[in-house]
Amino acid sequence: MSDSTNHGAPSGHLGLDLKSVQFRKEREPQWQELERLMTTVEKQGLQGLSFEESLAFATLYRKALSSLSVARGISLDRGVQSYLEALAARAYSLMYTRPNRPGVATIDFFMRGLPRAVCAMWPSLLIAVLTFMLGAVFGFILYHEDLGWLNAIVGSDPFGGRGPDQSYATLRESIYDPGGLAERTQGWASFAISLMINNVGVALLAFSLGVAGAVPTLGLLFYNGLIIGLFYSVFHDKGLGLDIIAWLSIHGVTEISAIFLGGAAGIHVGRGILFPGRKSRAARLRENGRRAGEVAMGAVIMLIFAGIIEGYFRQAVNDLEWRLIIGWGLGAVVFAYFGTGGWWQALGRRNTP
Amino acid sequence: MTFDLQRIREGRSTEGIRRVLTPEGVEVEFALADRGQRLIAVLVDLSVQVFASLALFVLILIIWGVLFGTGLNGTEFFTVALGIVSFFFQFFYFLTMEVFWQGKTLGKHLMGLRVIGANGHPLSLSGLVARNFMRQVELFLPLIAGAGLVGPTSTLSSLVSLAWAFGLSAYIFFDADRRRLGDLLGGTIVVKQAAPVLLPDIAAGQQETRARFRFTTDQLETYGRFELQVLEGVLREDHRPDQEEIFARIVARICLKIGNQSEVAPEFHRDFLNDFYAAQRQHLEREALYGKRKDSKADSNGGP
Repeated sequence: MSDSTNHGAPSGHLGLDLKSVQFRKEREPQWQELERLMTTVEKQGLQGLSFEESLAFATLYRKALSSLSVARGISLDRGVQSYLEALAARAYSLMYTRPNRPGVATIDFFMRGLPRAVCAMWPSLLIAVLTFMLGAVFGFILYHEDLGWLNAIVGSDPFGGRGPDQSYATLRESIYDPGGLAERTQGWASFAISLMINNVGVALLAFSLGVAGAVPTLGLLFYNGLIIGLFYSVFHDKGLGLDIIAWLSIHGVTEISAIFLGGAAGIHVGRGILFPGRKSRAARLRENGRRAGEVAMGAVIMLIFAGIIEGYFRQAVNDLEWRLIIGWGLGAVVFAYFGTGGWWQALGRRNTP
Repeated sequence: MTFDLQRIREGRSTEGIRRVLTPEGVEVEFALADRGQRLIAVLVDLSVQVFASLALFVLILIIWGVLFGTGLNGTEFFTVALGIVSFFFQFFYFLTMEVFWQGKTLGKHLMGLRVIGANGHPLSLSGLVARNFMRQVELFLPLIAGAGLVGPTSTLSSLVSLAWAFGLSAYIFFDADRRRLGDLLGGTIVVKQAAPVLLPDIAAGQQETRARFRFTTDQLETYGRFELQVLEGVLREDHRPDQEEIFARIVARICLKIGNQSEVAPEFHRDFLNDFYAAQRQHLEREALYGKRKDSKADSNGGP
């Protein structure tokens, strides 16, 4: 048993033939090449690679994964194993942390993803619309029940001087500005921007509050409906009902639709939490969350348009018919876009061979 | 995501380590980002948002001034430029960064973090959108409510909304995978970026130079995989001040265990350990070929 102090051992090979050393020797160049490619990708993105290099990147990534599997099975060398763990993790995050071709994905999102997502969550959308409408009706009833409600809900100077105390003439002037075009549209851009920021904030809040079981989202929708109901009542009682509808329509059709979408997104998330159905709550939440995120993005884009319309056209267009035509015309476009759920795209594909 | 059974078997900590099943069917190991790191990253990003939008605003003003002179209806233009810039930075800074920079923002990059898909799903555009739009309630709502507290219109309602918003943001402290609500919705986790370092193979040197010490098969039956890896750790960390003493103790211990009667001279301690490591590893590898795995010295039958 004591042959371990064999100082004058016969020269030549000892019979040490480690498979793991050979394994590492064979594969090390591949690992190093993968590391080199990864450095390029980190710095310049996948575009930084030539065609051959990106093919090699994918192949070497798979080889690294297979090396890792082998090493986990046989390797006794912790150095190699932890290196391969880190190598595979880094390569994985570079392979899969970039949405595939963001440009194409964006176009596809607007052509198909967004309308589909909106159609797929129609129950949530319906709930959002109904809650808002309920708020509006409630506002109208409260206003006629007791004017005190107005002050209680929106304060003493509710709509920038457009209160129930104002005369017919003043109210009419506030929506049909008698000044010239240049005078009326003075300062429209800064107005549009501040509205846009505010509205986008509200829409995203409606979406993100969905995680609290959608209750705050419903509250937000109801409250916004309530305000609209009260605002309408002020004009309605002076016989300006249709005029105020036209004035609101020109931007409001787009804007309120966008708020509906934001609200629907929030409700969809809330439904995922409250009623996960057959799937696990986490899986349902992930599924609903992504879809809701898409719809919220649609709401943001719509609000950007609505802001421009509100800032400029609301002041520039001064007669009732045109306000209605532009507003509901845009509404029809929006409805056609979302309502078809991207089917028109499938139709187009069928017709082209 | 699964826990690392190997780690549990070896008694190593699984805290903050998650395995993600890749589409290729191999589980890859990730270290979750610490919550503190993520907090610092988000603070960095918030300051970038503020300073970058101010810088961009000033730049636009300078360019405008150079192009059109100063006689413009100034105030309106200022508002619009500042509005557009802050609109973009508030709502799209995080999203754009993460989409075009492989799941990183500036703050995450500085802290060495990155967003990845949680269940081996590739990171999707809609997942990133959901994840970042959630910041509206997780990040900006507490900020706004907090500002309301110190502002002129400090009210009970802003205190309530602050508490409520923090309640939602606090979710991250209760999630085992350290996800915030946005991560839950987007199906993502935030991990530390792996930095692969390939250490030299200790046994590779032994294969070329002939060994000074030799061991019999019986002697190599004593130890298993675990002890081998402990020895590997000792041999790699050889810059400690009490190196000599540690080596001497280990050599004595090994000699006792494997029944080596003869004395090993102190100057050969290192060679002895290197040779023993190589021989032991070869022995275990060979046994593994025949299906006999020995995880540790307690594993008397040579594994299952």
